Amino acid sequence: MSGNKISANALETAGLYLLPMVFLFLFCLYPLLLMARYGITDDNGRLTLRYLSEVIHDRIFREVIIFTLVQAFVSALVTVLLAIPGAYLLARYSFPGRSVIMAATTVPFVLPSLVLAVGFLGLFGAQGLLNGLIYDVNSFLGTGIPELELLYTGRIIVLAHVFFNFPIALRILNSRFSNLDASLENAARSMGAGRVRTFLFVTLPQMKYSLISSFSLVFTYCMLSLGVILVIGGLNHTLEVELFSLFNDLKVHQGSALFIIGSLLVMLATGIYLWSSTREGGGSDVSLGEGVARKGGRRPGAFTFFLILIYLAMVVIVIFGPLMVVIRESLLSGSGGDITFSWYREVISRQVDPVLSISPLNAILNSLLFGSLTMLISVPLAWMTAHLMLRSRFIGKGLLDLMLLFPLGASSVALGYGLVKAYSGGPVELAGTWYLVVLVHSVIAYPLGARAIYSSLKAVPGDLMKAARSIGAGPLEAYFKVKLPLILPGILIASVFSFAISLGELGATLMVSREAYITMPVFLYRVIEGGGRQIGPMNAFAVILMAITFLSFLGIEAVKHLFTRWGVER
Amino acid sequence: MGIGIMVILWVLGAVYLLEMIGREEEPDLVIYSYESFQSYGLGPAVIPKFEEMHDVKVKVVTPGDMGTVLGMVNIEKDRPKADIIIGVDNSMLFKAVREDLLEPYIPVNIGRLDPTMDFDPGHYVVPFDYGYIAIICNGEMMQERGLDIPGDLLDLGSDQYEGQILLLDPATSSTGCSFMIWAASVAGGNHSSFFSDLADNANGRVLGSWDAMYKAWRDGEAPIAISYGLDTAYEMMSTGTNNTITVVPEHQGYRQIEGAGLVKGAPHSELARKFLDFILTDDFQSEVYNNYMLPVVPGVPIDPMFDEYGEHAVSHVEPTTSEVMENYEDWYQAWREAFF
Amino acid sequence: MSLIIRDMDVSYPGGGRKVLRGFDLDITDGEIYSLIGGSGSGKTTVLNLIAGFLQPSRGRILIDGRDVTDERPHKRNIGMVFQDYALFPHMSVRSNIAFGLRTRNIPRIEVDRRVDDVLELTGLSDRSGRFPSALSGGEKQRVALSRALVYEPSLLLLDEPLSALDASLREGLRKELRKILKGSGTNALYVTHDQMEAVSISDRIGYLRDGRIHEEGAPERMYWRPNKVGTARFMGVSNILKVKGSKDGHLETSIGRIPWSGSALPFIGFRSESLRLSGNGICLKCRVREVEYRGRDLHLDLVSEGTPLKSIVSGVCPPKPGDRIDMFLDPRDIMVLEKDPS
Repeated sequence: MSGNKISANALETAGLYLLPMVFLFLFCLYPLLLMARYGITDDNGRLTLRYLSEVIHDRIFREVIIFTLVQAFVSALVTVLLAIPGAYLLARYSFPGRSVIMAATTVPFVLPSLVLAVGFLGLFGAQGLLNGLIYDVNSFLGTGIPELELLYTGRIIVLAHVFFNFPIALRILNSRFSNLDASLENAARSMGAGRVRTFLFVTLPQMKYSLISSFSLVFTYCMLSLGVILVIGGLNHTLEVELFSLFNDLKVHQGSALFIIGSLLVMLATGIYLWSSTREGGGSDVSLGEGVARKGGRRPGAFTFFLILIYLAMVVIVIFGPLMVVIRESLLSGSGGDITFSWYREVISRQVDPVLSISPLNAILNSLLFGSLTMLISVPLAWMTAHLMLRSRFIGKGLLDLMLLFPLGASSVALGYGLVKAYSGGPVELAGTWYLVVLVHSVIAYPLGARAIYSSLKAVPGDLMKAARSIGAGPLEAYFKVKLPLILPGILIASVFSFAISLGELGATLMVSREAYITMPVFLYRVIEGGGRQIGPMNAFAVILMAITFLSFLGIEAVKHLFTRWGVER
Repeated sequence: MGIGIMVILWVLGAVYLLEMIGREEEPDLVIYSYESFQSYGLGPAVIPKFEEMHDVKVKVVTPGDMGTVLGMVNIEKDRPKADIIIGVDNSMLFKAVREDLLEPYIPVNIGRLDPTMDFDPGHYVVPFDYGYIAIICNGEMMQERGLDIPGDLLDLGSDQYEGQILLLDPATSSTGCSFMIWAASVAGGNHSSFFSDLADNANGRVLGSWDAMYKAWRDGEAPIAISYGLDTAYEMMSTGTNNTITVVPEHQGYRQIEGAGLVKGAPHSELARKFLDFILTDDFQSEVYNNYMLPVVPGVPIDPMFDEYGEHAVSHVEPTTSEVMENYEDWYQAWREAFF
Repeated sequence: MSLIIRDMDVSYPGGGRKVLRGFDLDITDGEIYSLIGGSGSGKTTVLNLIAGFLQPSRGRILIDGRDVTDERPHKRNIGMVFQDYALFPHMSVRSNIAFGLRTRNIPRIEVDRRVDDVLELTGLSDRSGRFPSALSGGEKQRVALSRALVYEPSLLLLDEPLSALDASLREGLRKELRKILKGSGTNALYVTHDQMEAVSISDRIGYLRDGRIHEEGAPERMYWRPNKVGTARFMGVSNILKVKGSKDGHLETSIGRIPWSGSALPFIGFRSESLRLSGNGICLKCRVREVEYRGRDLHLDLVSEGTPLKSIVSGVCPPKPGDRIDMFLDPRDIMVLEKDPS
């Protein structure tokens, strides 16, 4: 009898894993494996290591790999180092505006990467705001400040990556700092250790896993970023960019070989992240969008307050600077410094772009539709995955869970290319359809959503469900009346993520979206690349993309507050 | 339950809208080309003529530059959606042939083609226009900086041009690809060292598309760039001024000859062949000026401005497609070694 | 009203160790039954079994004569109060309490009436609109109790319901809890590790050890006259001595001969408060080893004839360490103890 029960339980578990696994396999693993196959077979389908060895022995490919790793490493390092003081200050001191700052740091995370690229073009370009300023200063004071030559360098890539990933690191570290047992620090202080010594030898060691997990997560993201490097990275190719140009250069075999090598490296980083995030304080319970800043905390002294001010000013400038530039450029008329809305009028006028054969408004509509449908697929998937991650252990569960979060470390370019290859010309024809776009966005979005729901699921005390059941609620009733309302904040965050990811995704969408179904980022990318076009409409379009992302974010945030008025204790 | 109904309505609405957006008249012919085929006006000039002639509907898709177009055709190889690719030039043809993307076809009016333009013995593409690859200089800036106008291609390796040249990535730009093949052919065995000199002079200013490079050149990013022999004419026609010095070496010219090819496994191959026949007619050839290129059929009238300001060469260095196919990887490798 | 558990085995999946084996339990007639035991003894397992969150590998559970062994949790008509209350944070006090009535499809008017009644009973009427996060610990506890009682379950399960409260609050609530439980007339199974709590709250106490009820009985008997050594130890009997032999209706021990008419048993024991500074009965010559002040009480560590003894006295002029004093033990306070079955 007990044997039957165990196998019934195993059957149930297998059944629960089936749906997300099938989805994952069909729309992520299979296309990627198909891609990888090109790297180890020749045109006749015979197994060969030729391409792999070609790629490894090619100096430039090696340099691309090394550059990818170095920029990711430096970006992650700078991000984490910058985030440590902020996370500490926000966790330990209470000062006016703390929660506002916390909310502001969500901005870069949901911001489509191309908007930042446009902002950086306007800020750092040869004709950009900063160089204009330097020129003015030089001609006014007669100084010889050299022009900024950041655009198209590795440094600007690091800068962009820090911008995007700073909030994640800040959140993970802040949550850990907040949860640290302050009595340990007090004990060290009472034994005569100074503030610095206490921080270095008592506080930091307890931060170990959160440091590792934030570093490895940022590293993973930096390995895989595409849009921003494509636009402002110049000749500095990372693996993802190189993959993109190799596929367009019809060098599928070399591209795939490079993809295989890159994937192994990324998987290593992702693996370290997933491992460390489940350790104590590793940040698996942190998700963006939640107000992490806690009540309480010391009031800072004058000096500390000064430090906080400087730090916050820096954060605000770094986060909002590029966005302000985009807004500014979108309002400036081409000839003089007049303010004009004509660029917006041009974007919204429904004029079909002769080259893209679709109007900007149409691209906006597409993005909104894709975003909402993506939410509808990826959130249930994320919800299922989160539940699976919380199920009791069995042999191989770790591996399965790792697989479920696999798209987190997948190359979007290879995924897009693989999907078209997998579902074109066969019995299932998905290439060029709108559902392929929705599917690929969902695959890319759901792991992050799963982590958001997972963290809110984990925060629901197990006894609540038992209580509901013992009181007389059936399993479904108990779930819908007790658990679901409690994980709703997590579900809403997952929805924001899905929407934002769908709205900002570039790599895979470039590969799978066709003519009528071009999205906002693809449209923006084509506008930027077709260098002949004007700056005004480009910035206006970027502002619209940014505004839509934020509005949806704020909308869902408002819904969340509506649902969480009971003030759940965490 | 209200929420449930709203969600269902929302989904149905979204799906309906997306279906509406994607819905179009089933085209009778699908053409893939690079962006400027549409934006410069050649497409809008010739496509309606063909549509009217055969009473058909033609759809033109321009996913990006020529590299992207070939990339897309390559992805769709198993089930092609395009019938015709327009813009496969003598530099890039070998890639399409190597990947087996094209179906050979000899148009009925092949006799109209200028025999010197017939670069493709395999008949994978029908040439439709050509232009000289040229060095363009911003006259004002050259004078300001005291730079000599380069006389021939190899001059670009000279030290005086350090930091003064804008170049193109041959992997993504067809103009860049043509330039690289031209430079390799002119330099002969010394192409590696010539590429290194070029890389020094470009000093990182290598752009992905001709559009982006041309914009940077006009913005004064550098005084020298790679473009076409009709650039002075273009400037005269669009602005009425003449600050562009266009250099086409008289005895080492390189013509970029663009062709249109039939996609292997094209869904509408019959009509596609009719379109290829259309290319060499006067109806098409008289419009190629829109592309700032020259017709490949002798006797088609040319804009007098083109005649007056267009630069051209007397003799050419143009490797055949098979020569390109044989050497391209070596040249490209040397290029990468020099530039990255 | 009754709960009957017969011959129940439970083992955790994977691990071979049986948490319960041959476990029997009977609760009837509105009694409050306390299940006590050390940590890991399986107290909570018993609750989870009865509630249906855990399946036994053998045995039956009958509630009101109905076999519920294979019944699903929400069909068992039980109420449960959790250690950390498990109040639904997204519902007001009223909604929390009404939850069980709503799931039973009781008409709204009836729901309101019964919730009002129970709020009255537990003194929470002015808290009905609040959310749990705005309640004190004691209030939460009463809401949890109200929520489990409002639909008149056949059986109420309480899992250490007072353990999350302050010590001072806890003692006050014991009496109130007993009053509410008795007032409702529901059978209650009360799980605790605190024997004093069990003694003051329940009608009957069962000591759980080695997977079954080791010994059960009324609180006074369990406190003053446990039958087994293990029970005595758990109930806080600190003086347990080995019986060396028996002769002529006496048991021979290291502190002397104890009158005993029954069959010979291996141990005797007495509570530390039974060993007094003055009085009648057996007089023991002791040396004071240590004195610990605990406010009103003094805890004495003594040695008598090489046997360590403990005593709790309340004295004005306390002995000092090293003093030799006489201690008195009323023979009626001595319990004679069986060995624990191994």
